Amino acid sequence: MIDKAIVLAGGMGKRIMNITGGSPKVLLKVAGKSIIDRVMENLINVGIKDVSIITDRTAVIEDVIHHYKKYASISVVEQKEADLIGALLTAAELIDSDTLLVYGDILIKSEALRDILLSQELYRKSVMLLIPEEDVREYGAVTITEDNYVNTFIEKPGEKIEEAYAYGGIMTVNEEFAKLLIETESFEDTINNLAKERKIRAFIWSGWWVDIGYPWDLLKALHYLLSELEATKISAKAKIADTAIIEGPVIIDDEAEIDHYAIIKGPVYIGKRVYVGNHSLIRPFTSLEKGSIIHAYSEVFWSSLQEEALIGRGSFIAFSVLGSKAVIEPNVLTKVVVSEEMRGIRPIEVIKNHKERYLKLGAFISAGRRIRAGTILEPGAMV
Amino acid sequence: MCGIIGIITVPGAFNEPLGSIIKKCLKNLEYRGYDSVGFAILGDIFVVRKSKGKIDDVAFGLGFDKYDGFVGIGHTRWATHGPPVDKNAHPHTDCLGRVAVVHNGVLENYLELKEILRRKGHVFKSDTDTEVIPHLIEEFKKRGFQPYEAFKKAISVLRGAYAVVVIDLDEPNKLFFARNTSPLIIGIGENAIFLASDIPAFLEYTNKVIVLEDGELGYVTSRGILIEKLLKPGELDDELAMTEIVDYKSRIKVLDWTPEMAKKGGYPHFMLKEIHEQPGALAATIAGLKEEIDGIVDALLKSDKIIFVAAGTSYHASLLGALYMNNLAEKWSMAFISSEARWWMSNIGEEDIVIAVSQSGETIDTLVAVREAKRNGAKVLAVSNIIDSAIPRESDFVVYTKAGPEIGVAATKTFTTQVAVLLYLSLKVAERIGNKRIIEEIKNDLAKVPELASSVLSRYEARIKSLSRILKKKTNAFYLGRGFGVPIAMEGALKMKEIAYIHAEAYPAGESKHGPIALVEKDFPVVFTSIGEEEELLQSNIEEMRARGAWIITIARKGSRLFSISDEKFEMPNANEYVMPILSILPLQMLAYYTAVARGYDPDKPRNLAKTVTVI
Repeated sequence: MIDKAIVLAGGMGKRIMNITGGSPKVLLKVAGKSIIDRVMENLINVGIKDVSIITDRTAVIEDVIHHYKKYASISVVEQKEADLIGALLTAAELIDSDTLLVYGDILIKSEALRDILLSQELYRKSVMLLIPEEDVREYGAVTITEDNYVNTFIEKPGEKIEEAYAYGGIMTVNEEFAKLLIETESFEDTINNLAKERKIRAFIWSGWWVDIGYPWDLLKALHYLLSELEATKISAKAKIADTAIIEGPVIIDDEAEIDHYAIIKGPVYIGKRVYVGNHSLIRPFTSLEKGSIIHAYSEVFWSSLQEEALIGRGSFIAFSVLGSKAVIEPNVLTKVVVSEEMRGIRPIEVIKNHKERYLKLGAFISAGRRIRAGTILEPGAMV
Repeated sequence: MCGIIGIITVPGAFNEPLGSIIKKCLKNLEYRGYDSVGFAILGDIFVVRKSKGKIDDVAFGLGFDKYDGFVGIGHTRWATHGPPVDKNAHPHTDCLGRVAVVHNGVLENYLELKEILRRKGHVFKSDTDTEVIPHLIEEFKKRGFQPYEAFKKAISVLRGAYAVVVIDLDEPNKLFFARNTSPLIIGIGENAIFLASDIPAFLEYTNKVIVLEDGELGYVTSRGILIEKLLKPGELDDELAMTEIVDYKSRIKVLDWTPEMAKKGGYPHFMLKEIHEQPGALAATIAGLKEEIDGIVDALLKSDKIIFVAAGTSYHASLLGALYMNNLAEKWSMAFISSEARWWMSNIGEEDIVIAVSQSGETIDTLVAVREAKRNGAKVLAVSNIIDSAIPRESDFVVYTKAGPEIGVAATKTFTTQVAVLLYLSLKVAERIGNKRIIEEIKNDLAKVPELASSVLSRYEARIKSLSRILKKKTNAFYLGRGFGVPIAMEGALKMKEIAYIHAEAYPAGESKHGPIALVEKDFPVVFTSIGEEEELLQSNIEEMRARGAWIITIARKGSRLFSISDEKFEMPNANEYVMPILSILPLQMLAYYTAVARGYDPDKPRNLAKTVTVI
C-alpha cells in the first residue's frame, strides 16, 4: 500500500484573503483544528509514513506540523513558483514511486483516502478522486468512460458540463505522471495524456467533501464536521454558569466560560478561553475558536469566529465568518436572506419545512477589522 | 442468511495466521446479513470462539489474528432458531468439545432429535437447531462408528435445509461437509481447499470451484476431495449410511470473476459501484444472448400461457416481462409473487411455460413455486445470475444474466439485465410471428442501451445527490406510473424503502382518486415515471397531485410536456418505450442510494434484510 504523500499547501488563497489576513489559508481553523491539521490527521490515519508538504511559506508551516513528526517523516519543501503549476512541478521532482498527491485545502473523511489507496492497490493504476457536483466550474471537470476510467479533464471549464464530475483534489500519481508533468508543464495535458491510455481510474466519492476556496466554504465545512459530533464533551476546566442551558452535542474546551442564562444549541464547538456572555444564544453549526468573545445578549448562528474575534453586546451574526481578531462593536446586525443570485457568491442553501429552499449568506469580516456599532451588514458583504 | 467458511491447508501456505484468512473470508460474506460471528481453528491447540456482533467490532475480542492452524471453520449467523446471543453463535460443539460444526439452513426434525439425544445424556448449551449435529456425531462415534461414518450417519438423519462444515478432532486432517438445499461451494486453491456459502468468500485465493448439489456430502483434505451422494434418508439405528461416490472431475469450473470484481473497486459502497456497472453489465448480457436460445424461443412459441414467478426486485422485472410477452409476443402472460404463486397453479399444465426469475437462483419461495409448476407438468425457464444454482438446475431451460457478482443487498444491475433478457426473449418470439418493423426499432435501441445508460448515470449523479438532501427529511413518498411505468415505480419505491428506510408506496397512477390521494398534503413527495405514450393520462394525475401541494419529481423522455408542471425533472434520452424502463430506473436507484447515504445509513447492509432469502 502507498505510504508516501505530497501535500500542496501553498498559494495565497486570494479568494479568502480577507479572512486569513495574508497567512496561509491552510491555517484557518474549523471546529478547533486547522485545515492542515485535519489533512495531516487523515493521512496518518490511513497509514502514510512519509509526507512532503510543498508551500511558499515554509517557516510558518514548519511551526504547526512539527508535532506530527512522531507519526511520520515530514519534510517541508519550498515551491518554485507561487502558483499551482509551480507547486506541482516542485512535487514532480519528489515523486520516485507511487504517491498520494493531496491539495492542502480539501476536507474529506479519511475513509475516502483509504478507499482511494485500496483502489490503487486493486487496479495498479493512478486513481483520481471525483465528486458529483452540480456546478464543476470551480473545480476542474472530469468525464469518465463507461467502465470508470478518466476520459477527459478540463482544468478550468468555462461553463457547466452536465456529464462531468468535479476533480476532488486528491489522486495517486507515479513517476510517469511526474515525467509527463515536467515535459508538458501542464496539469491538464498530463492528465489527458494518461487518460488517453486508460491509466487513470475514476473514484467517485458520494460522501461529503469541501474545497476551501471562498470564505463561505468554511461554513459548509462547519456543517459537515459538526454534524458528525455525536456526544457532548465539556472540559473539566471550563466554567459553566448553573443557569446556562446546553443542548448537545457540544464541545467546550479548557477554560472556556459560559455565563448566566446563555443558551448553546449544538452542534457547536467552543474553543479554549472563549467567553459567552449573559443571555447570549449560540445556535447550531457555530464554531468559536480559541479566545473569541461573545458579549451579552448576542445571537450567533452558523458562523465561524476565528481566534480572538469579538462580538459586542446585542449583535446578531449569522452565516458569517469573522477573521482572527476582528471586532464587532455592539448592536451590529447581519442581513442574511439572499434575494437573487449575487455575482460570484454561492450562498448556503437552507431547507425549511422539508421543501422550501432559502439562500442565505451573512458577512465576511477581515482579520483585525473593526465594525462600527450599529452597522447593518448586507448579505455577502466582504469588509 | 448465515455464511459459512471452511479452510484446510498445509502449514506455511499463507503469510498470515489462518484466523486472519477466516476473518477475511467472513468479511466477504457480510453482505448476506448476520448478527453474530464465530470460528474454530485446529493448530497446536483447538480453539472455538464466538460472539454476537459485527466482525469489525468483535474481531479484536475474538482474536482472529492470534490463532494459526491447518484446519479452520468460520460462521456469520443470521438468527432463525434462538435469539442472537453469544451461546447461539456458531460453531457448536458436542459434549466433549471434540466436534465443531457450522451450519446454514433450518432443520425440520431437530426438536425430536434433541429430545432423543437429551434422554441419552447429551447436554445442550444453545437454543439452536444446529447443535443436534455435533451431538449426533458424538452419539454415533460412541456406538462404534468411525468418525467419517458417524458424520455421514448423522447427516442422513437430518431433515430440512442445511449446508454443514465440520471439524472432528478424531479425524484432524479432514473437513467434513454436506449440502441439502442451502448453498455450499468448494474452492480449490494451490495449497488450500475452501468450503463456503458463496464464491466471493474465497475468490481472493482461488477461482477454481465445484458447486455442490443437494444430497451431496464428503470431506476435503489439504490435497484431495471426496464427494459422495446420500442414497436414502437414515434412521437412528446402527446401520451405516448408504452413499455412492460421485465423479466430480467434470464439474470443476474456473470462473472468470477476478477478486476485484467482487470487491468495491474504488467506490464507497458496493451499491454505487453496481449502479455504475450497469452499462457494462447490460452490454455483456445482451452480447451473451446472441448465443443459442432457439430452443427456448420454440418452447415459448408453442406455449399456451406464460407465467412468471419471482420475488422482490425480480418480480418487478417479471411484471415488465409479462407486459412484453403480452404486447410483443402476443402471449397471455402474467407475473406472480413466488410466495403467492401456489394459489395460482391449479390451471397450469403441460402446455404452459413458467419463467422463474431469481438473481441468486436459490430464492426458496421461487424454488418451491418451480417445483409446484413442474409437478403440474409445465416447462420451466430460469433466469438467474448465478451459474448452476438451484433454480437453473431444476429447470428445463435457463438464461443467465451476465451482471457479475452483485454484493449490495439492494438489487440494481441484476434488475436491468433481467429486464434486458426478458425483452430480448419477447423480441425473439415476436420476430417469428411477424411485425418486423417495430421489432427492428426496439432491437436497435436495445443495442444502444449500454451507451444511453452510461450517459443517464453520469449526467444526473450530482443533481440526485443534491436532491437527496431534501428527500432525506421526508417520511413518506408515492411512486406513480402507468403501463411500463408501474413496475419501474414499484422498483423505485422498493429501493427507497429497503435502503433509505423511507416509506415509499407505488401504485398505478390511475388509482390515486380511489383512495391514496387522501394522504397527499403540502410538500408530500410524488415521483412520476413516464415511459412514453401514457403521458397525456399522467398529466391529469400530476395536476391533481399539484393541486394538493405535492412536491413532484418527474422522470420522462426529453421534451415531455410533463416537465412544465413538475418541480424536479429528469430527462431521459429518446428511446423506444419498450427499452425506456431500463433507463428510467437508473435515477431512482441513485436517488435511493444517495438518500440512504444522506440519512447516514449503509446502503450495502440494510437492516433486517438478507441478499438471498433461503428461509420460507
